[in-house]
Formats: sequence, structure tokens, C-alpha cells
Amino acid sequence: MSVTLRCWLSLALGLGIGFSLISCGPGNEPKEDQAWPLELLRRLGPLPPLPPDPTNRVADDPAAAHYGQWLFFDKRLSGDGKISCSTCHDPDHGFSDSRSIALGRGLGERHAPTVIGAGYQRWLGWGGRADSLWMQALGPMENVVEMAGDRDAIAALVRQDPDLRRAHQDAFGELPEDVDALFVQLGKAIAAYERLLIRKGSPFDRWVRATLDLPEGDAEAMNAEQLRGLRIFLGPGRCTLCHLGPTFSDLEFHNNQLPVHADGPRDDPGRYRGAELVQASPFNAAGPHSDAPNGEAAQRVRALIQTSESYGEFRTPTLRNLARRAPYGHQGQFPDLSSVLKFYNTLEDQDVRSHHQEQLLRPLRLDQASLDALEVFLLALEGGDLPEELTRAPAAPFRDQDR
Amino acid sequence: MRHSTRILSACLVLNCLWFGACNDKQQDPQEQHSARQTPADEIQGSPTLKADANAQGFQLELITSPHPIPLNEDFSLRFRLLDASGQPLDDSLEHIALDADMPEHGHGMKVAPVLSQDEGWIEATPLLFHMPGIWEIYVDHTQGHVTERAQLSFRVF
Amino acid sequence: MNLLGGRPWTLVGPLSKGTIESVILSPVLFSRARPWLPPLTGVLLTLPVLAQAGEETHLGAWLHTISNLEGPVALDFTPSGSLWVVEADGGRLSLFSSSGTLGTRLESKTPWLAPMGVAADTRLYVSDPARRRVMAIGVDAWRDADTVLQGPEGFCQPGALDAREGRLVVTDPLGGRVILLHGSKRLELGADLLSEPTGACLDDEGGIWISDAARARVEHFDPDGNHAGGFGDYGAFRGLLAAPSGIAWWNHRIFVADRDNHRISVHTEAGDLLYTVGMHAIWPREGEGLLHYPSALAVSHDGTRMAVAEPLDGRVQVFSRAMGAEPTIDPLRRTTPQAAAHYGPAIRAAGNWMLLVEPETQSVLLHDRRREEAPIELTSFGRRGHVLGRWAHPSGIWLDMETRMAWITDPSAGIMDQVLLRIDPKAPLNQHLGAAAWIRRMDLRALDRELGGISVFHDPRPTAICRREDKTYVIDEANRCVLVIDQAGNCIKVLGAGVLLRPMDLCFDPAGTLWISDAWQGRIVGLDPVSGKIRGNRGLGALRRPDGVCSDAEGRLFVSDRAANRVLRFDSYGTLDLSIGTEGLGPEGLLGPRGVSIGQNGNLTVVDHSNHRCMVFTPDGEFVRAYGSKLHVRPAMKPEIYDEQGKKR
Repeated sequence: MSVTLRCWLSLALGLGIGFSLISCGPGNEPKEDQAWPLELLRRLGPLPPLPPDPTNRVADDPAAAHYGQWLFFDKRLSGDGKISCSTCHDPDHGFSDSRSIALGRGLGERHAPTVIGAGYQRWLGWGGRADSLWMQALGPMENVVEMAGDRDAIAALVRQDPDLRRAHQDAFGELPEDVDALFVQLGKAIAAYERLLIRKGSPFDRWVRATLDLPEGDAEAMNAEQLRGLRIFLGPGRCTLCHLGPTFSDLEFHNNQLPVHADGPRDDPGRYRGAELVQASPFNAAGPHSDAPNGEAAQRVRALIQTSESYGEFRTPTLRNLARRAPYGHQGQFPDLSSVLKFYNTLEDQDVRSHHQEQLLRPLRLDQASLDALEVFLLALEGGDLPEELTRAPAAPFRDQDR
Repeated sequence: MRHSTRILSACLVLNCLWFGACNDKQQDPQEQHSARQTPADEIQGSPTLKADANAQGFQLELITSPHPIPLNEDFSLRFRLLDASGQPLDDSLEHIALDADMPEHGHGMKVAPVLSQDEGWIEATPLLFHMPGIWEIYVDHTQGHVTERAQLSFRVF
Repeated sequence: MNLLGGRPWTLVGPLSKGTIESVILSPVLFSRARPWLPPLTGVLLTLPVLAQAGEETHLGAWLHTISNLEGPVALDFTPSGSLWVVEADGGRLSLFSSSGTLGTRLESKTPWLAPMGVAADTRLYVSDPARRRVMAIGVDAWRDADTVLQGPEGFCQPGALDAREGRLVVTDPLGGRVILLHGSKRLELGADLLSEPTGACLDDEGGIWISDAARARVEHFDPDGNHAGGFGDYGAFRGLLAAPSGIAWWNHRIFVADRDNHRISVHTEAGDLLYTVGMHAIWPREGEGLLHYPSALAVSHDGTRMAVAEPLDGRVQVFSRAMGAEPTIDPLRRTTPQAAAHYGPAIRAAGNWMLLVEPETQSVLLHDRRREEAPIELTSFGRRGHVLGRWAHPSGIWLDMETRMAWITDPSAGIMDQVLLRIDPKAPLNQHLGAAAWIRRMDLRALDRELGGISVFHDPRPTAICRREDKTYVIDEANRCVLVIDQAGNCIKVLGAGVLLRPMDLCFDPAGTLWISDAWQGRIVGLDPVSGKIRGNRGLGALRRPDGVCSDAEGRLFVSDRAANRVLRFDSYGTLDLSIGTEGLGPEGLLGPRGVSIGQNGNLTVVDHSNHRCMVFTPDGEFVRAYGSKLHVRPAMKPEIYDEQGKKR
């Protein structure tokens, strides 16, 4: 073995595996004067522009977004006229809700994930049953425990209500005869609205801009405790194994043996079912309703592997904007951030039932001060407030200037 | 965003996991790869990576697009197999398989790339390395009742 | 038809072997023992009423256990509710009453050599894979017995059976197909679909349901033999299957013995999971509804009882109906402790290294034995799948220290893999995740069928392997021979054809004789590896179900006998000079010993398979240490007294 190769290994371990495997016992805590791993920081921030969605030609159309915002708050889309998207994705709770398990027409099976920043996701839903925002938006409308509506009734409503009809025409042109086509357009309008729900300018984003010599940076945006938490996040916390990327998520799925909530199902197939659903659906990126049936997203959904190894895997949630959206976890198992961190620190109550769960999961064994710092850092990912007008139903489904 | 993350993406691991004596009958596959890598031999800006099959039954030439391999972004590969005399193997796709794995994690990719043939090269797309760490790309060739493997190791971060 | 009667049966006195462990009689007693389960009293009596009233019931409340059986592998209820049980290791059939009392026992070796399947219809059908045939036995006499199916051309060897209204379905797990006999009609099912059909049953419309262990699937065929759907995928979570080995149909419900998940899963005909019964018995000999590798099951004709066979624990557990849609889960066992690594059955050692199979994960473990007190796991490799680097069911293993190569066979896929272990054997002890690099895979099914001048009928199933002088010797379970394969992967010779019946393991002694254990003949056969001529025999009359075999440097042979729970040693002259181990959990205890291996220091390691541990003995049989799951190691290291049910006194 040559010296060169040994050096290569040392470099590789030092850069990659080393940061994630070191435990944070006394004596090997991250040092404050250590240089920041800039390559790693570039992967986390600042929050970049939203990636385009070629499967939705109105993804960034203002008229469609306005119409979608109306629909998001319109309870008439539900079966009993009492539930809208915003019932479970409540702006007052970070576009999630305060319940562990979502409650729509009936009790669901999972916690309502936040819609803020959903436009960055590759797969939607905890199990990834959708590959676009618009496909995701169609599901709850007809789910019997969510809005429990049906597309025929919803299509009839749009055709009969002059305001909805007008807004629809503004965004899409003449209403299609085909119910599915009209139904899909509603999803695309809602997706256009949801793509606007982005909170930029978090303390971390401002700090990382300064650290990376980017404009609009602020080297003082994070305090010493938050910076210490960031070092633990990047190092002994092993968080970046999954929470890596501008949304602090790898956008993919893992089985981290989270405890089961009393109100949640004991056996949730997670990604195993999600992969099957998204691949079989006519509303996926490769389907006839997609505006880019041969694009990247279409290729990806076609190539998706369906294997039972993904049973019990759930999507890595974004860590941005955590403050208002407790509880946490796919079943809302954790009432607050400290209980999430405690779980990963000790793996107490982990749900070990198979041989196919995340092999790298092991107790972090961080001290309390490190956990506190980590929590303080996570709150530095809180972006600026959304414009108030995006957090409520607009006055009408169509924009004034389109009248 | 996409361009910047590509720049930041991956590097090829030239090391091997084993530091032991190398005078055994069977050489370490990853050492073979590192010895044969010729970064100067570039096609369309990406180096052609080379590896002998682990049982030395064929040679693999492989180009990643983009290079280095980006973390958590779709990428594609072009590769071809050469016989002992360096001539491309003219074989149907049913005898060739491509896969990738994170051997330390015990799992692989979540997508199965589609293979297609193009002027002596085989194109594989899409691939996605969704986690940081060491990934191995495997190319398996079946002849008769024997399947041989060639592999390349990458560290993606 | 009364299958209990008939003088010509070989009768064994009642309660001579099979005994009923206990019967729940009192709701008070029951609720003390298992407070989370519903009381049973009155359930059976009120069941029809409840059913009529639309109340949901499930079949899964533990009723009693029939213990002390010798390898129960198959069972079937008679129309009157008695239960036939095939005891494979005992080579016999036993009939138990509905209360679990032994009535009749058929022990004659005349009609069969190794019974494997049973079906009770208007006649009693018994499969005998050793003679590759299925027999039908009349009610009155052996002279009524006739052969209804005979191999080898028709099939490889028969396994599980089911019969209903004149239709007989026969699985051929080694041949990957199922045969349906109906009058003069004979249909072959699933030849292009099935891989390892280990269970079969008929529904009341003549449809056939097959459990395919290797594919973790249940397949459905219509009465004409057309594939009509199926369900199942591999995994440990509820609704997934891992080696579904037995199957029964009752009232449009499919009951599956999900062997490697240690549970019974009950499905609709569409495949939707209704409920599961039982969970992994972790402590030694845990029962009362907790299961350990359930391999076969049967449901009584009236649907009130389900019998589950667990061959490794030598018992049949009987379940009855209870109220509710599904069994209540024990809250204390809701989350099971980390499942212990289950070793075996194969083991190979070379230098400091030792290779073991871990069946639950379909992976192979490499251990270092430099630390005396316990081997350290250096790496594990392989997992479930079909591409290179994955297996359906790794079985045979071999290890070569000089080249750091491992060879692994997968009989379900008919393949043999060669893997380089990128670890320095002299390096400080450490874990080496991802150290395995696959060199190549040989598909033995693609070999020429004229192997070494001998015609091979069936797809080879390589179950065990050893190497010597650049040649690989592979046991082919399907063709009952040893394939000799050269460096290029060509089969150059076939050994033992016509001599072997059930070859299990093989090794060379220092003199170059190839020794092969033969479970069904109860002997070790020594062959000349060049000429194939028999050089010797060991153990005839002493061995019942020989399994693992190895030789030490002095030419002594060590052979495990999984039916007798011991390891026998034969000196180089062939004299049986030592017996190691007795049934149990203590320092001399063995239960279902399988693989054996001699280490660098001459000590003997035995895979104590049913005890989930490895036992190390000196060559003279003195206990050195045990390792594996703590629960099973503790009784060996710190002897504790257990009763015959494995309960600590």
C-alpha cells in the first residue's frame, strides 16, 4: 500500500465519515476556532430559488396561484363543506396543525406535514405518494378521512359557480369537458399557490451568506450558542447524514425506528406503499396529465424501485421553520424539539422490528449542553414571516386585475 | 442551484478499505481501479474511469455525467466493456447489469437506471446517490453460466 | 372413513412419546397466564351462535401444545378432527385426538424412508421424498397402499400435500413446481413461476394455493391449473412474508405459516392481511402461542382449530377460535427486543476467521476468533435479492484464508458466488463494513446436463460446499450427488450419484477422502474424489440424521446428528470413540446441532441451531464456551436447571 493511498483514505475519512462518526464525549467536542467546512455549508444554504416544475405549466403563473390560494381555503371542495386544505395545513401552525395525527373528516394515520417550502420537495407526503405538488393536492380532496369530496362534485361546483369558473378560465382558459383534466387543473392551481409559501432570510441564511462571501450576508446573524449548535449539527450530531440540502433534508426516505404514537397505526408501510401509489397513479409526472411526461421527474418515477426494504421509511422532513409546527415526526410522536433530540441521543423507545432499518442509527450520547445548543441552532433556521396576504383566503378566487 | 451543487459534488475515492499485504493471488478490486485510472483520458470533459473486472475477465470504461458525481441529484453514466485485447465486447443488454450500493450502509439506490446502447457504449440513466458517503458502482457481465463483476468506488459528499 | 382404525398399522402405546403439555381449562388460570388474551372458556360452545350473530372471531387463541415430537414437518386434520403429524426425524406418522392424546403411530420403515408430507382425505396420502414418491394408504392394510406418483422423471422429490374430494396436490419444492392429480388427470403447475413451493392447499372450489418460500409469495391457481393471482413480498413487517412454508385454506381465508417471521398470517383471498397469530419465541422453548420457525399448519374441517408444526422445537401448537377480529397483542412484547442473530446452519473456519450464515438477514457473517472469550464480527455481506451480491437463501459456505476468498451457494437460485474479503487478517480487531467484493457468480442451472458423463435430471440445488486443490466440491441436493467444478467454472465430474440419498455436508480428511454426510441413510460416506469409488462408511446404526461433518488434522471425523442432539467422533480407523452433547441448554446441551468446524487450535465449534448459539468443545468433548444470543449463551456459561419445557426451575 503506497503512502499516497493511505493519505487518500485519511482525507476521505477526515472529510466525510469522520465528521459523522465522532462521538461528542468530553475531549472531542467541536472546537470553536475550527475552520468551517465550507463545502458542507454550501449544501445547506442560503435557501436557493425554487426549482421549476415543468410538469405544471402554471406553476409560476400569478393568476393560477391566486386561484389556488382561494381553493386552498375553500371548504366547498370537501364532502361535507366543512374542511379545506387549510384545516390541516393551518397558517397559524406553520401550515401544519397542532395535532399528532391529522384530523379531517376522520382521524388520519400520520401527522400533517408543513406546506411551507413544499415546492423544494422531490416527493410529497410522508411516504412520497406524489411526485409533484399538484399531484399531492389531489389526494386529500377525495380521501375519506381528509376532505372526503369527489371530483365529479368538485368539477360541477367549478362549472356552476361563476366566480370559480371565471378564476379557472383566467388561469387555464376554457374549462375542459373531461372531469379528470379539470380536477388536475385545480391541483395545479393549488400547487402554484403553495410554491409561494417560502420563508427566506433566516439567521442561518444570513450568516452563511457572510461566511461564504455572498451578498446580503450578516456574520453576526447567529450568536455563539447557535454557532456551537451548528458545529454539533455538522459533526457529532450526525444530522447531515439525512438532513443535508438547502431544505435541511435529503428529500428521500429512511426508517429511523421512531416510536409509534398511541393514535397512529402500528404498522405503516410508509415509502413501500408510497412508491407503489406514485408509480401506479395516472397523475404522476410521467402520466397523461403531466406537462412534461418525459422530463426528469418522469424518468425518476418510472425508474423508481419498489422493494419491501423501504417498508416503514418516511421522508426526511425539512428542518426549516420548525418553531410553529410542533408536534414532530410522521405520527407527531414528539411534542417538542427537545424530545426529538432526546430520541436520537438515546434511541429510547425505538421501534425495532426488522432487519432492514437504518444501519447507521446509534445513540448520539451528546451531553445536555450540546443538545441545548443544537435546539437553539435549529431555531435559527426560522425564516422571515410570510406576507400576511398569503396566509388567508383572498377576497375572490380571481385577481382584480383579471376582471 | 443545480450548477453550483454540481461543482461542489463528488470525488472519486482512489483508496481501498484494506491496507494489508498485496502479494496475494487475487488483488483487491479497488486497488486495480486506482492503478488503472487515467484522468487525462477525457471525453466531453469527464474523465474515463477504468477498471478490470474482479476476475479479470473484461475491462470496464466508465464516464459519469456530470463528473464528479453530484450528491442527491440525478446523473447518468456511459460505459463499455472491453475484452482482453482491448476490443469492445459486442453483447446484448440482457447480459449486462448495472447497480450501485452503499456497502457501509447496506442499501443501494432507490431508482433502477434504464440501460440503452449507443454506438458501442451503454448509457444508464437515471442514477441518484441520495446519501453522502462511499458508493460503489457495479457492472456485471454474464457469459454462459458465469457472471463477472467490475466495480468502481466513489465518495460522494 | 375412519383413519384411526385398522390392525395392520404399527401401533405404539398411547402417550408413549407425544404428550399434551397443558390445556386451558379455567378462565381464571388463563387470564393469570396471559391477561391480555381473551378468556377461552365458552368460546367454542358459543362460536356458532356468535358467528350467526355476525360477531367477528379469529382463529388464533392458543389451546394446547403437543410436545416431544421428532421433527414435526407436516400435519393434517381428519374430517373427524384428529390430527396426523409427520415426524420427519423419527421417520413416522402419529395420529393425535382432538385433545392432543396420541392414538396411533405408524413407524414402519417399509412403506417410506423419510416421510415429509401428509394429507387426509378418503385415503391417507404420504410423501416420501427419499424414494421420490407419494403413497396412498387405505384404511385396512398396508397391502392397500399404492404409489400414486413416482419420480424422478415426473418431479424432483415430493414435499407437502393436500387432498380434497379426490384431488391431490403435491409440491415439488426442489423442482420448483406443483403437481395436481385428479382421477387420471395430471396437471403440472407453476413450472415457470414457482421457485421453492413448500406448501399447498386446495380450496372448496378446486383452486390451488401455493406458498413459495424462496419468493416469499402465495400463488393461486384455478382448478384447471391456470395462474389466477397471488400476493406477498419479502420482509419482516406485518403483511410481508419471509419464507412462507405452510399454507391452509378455510372459508375463503388463507392461513400462512410465515416461518422466518415466526408467525402465522391470515389473509383474504385477495391477499389483504386480516391478522397475525403468534410472535417470535425468544426465550428458550417459549410457547403458549409464541412461535419458533413454524413450518407447516393445518386448519380443522370445521374451522375451529389450527395446528402449527415447529420442527426445531419438536412440537405442534394447537389454536382455537376466540372472539374479536384478531388476537390481542401482548403489550409487554409490543416492541420485541433486538432480534438476536440466528446462526447457521453452515459454518466454516480457516485460520482465525470463521464464516457463518445469518438466515434472518440472508447475509453471511465473518468472525475473527483471536479473542478467546468471544469471536468478533468483522463484517457481514450479502442481503436478500436476486442480483449479484444478493441471495434468496445462502446455504453453503467456504472460506480460504490464503486468498481471503469466500464461496457461497444459494440453492434456491442454483448459484455459487465467489467473494473477496478485503480485510487484513493480521490487522487489529475492528469492524470492516462493506469489505466484501464480489468476484463472480456461477449459475449451476446453466451447466450442461450431461455432467461428467452422468445425465442430470433436475436443476442443481447447491446446498454445501468445500474446496481442495483448486477444485470446488458442491453438494447438489436435487440430484443427490457432488458436483466437482474446476477453476473456470466447468463441472468436470459428478461423484456419489446412486450412492447418496440426502447429502447434507462434506469435508476432506488429511488422507484425501471426501466424506459426505447422508441424513436419510444415517451414515457418512467416504468417496475417492477422483474415481468416485466408496472408500468407507461411518456411523451406520449410530447416526439418525447426520448433518454437519468435518475432519481434524489427525483424520478424526466429527459428525453432528440433529435428531439425536449430539456430535459423534470417529477415529481415523472409523471407530466411534466419542459422543459430545446431550439435549438441552446447559454446557453440554445441544438442540438440533448442524454445522461443525475445527478451528486453528483444534477446538470444535458446533452450530447449536435450535438454541441460536455456537458451542465450542475441545476435541475430546469438554465444553469451552458458548457464544451468540445472551439468552441462550447464559445457560451454557452459567449452568441453570431447566425442565423439559425449557422453563427455569
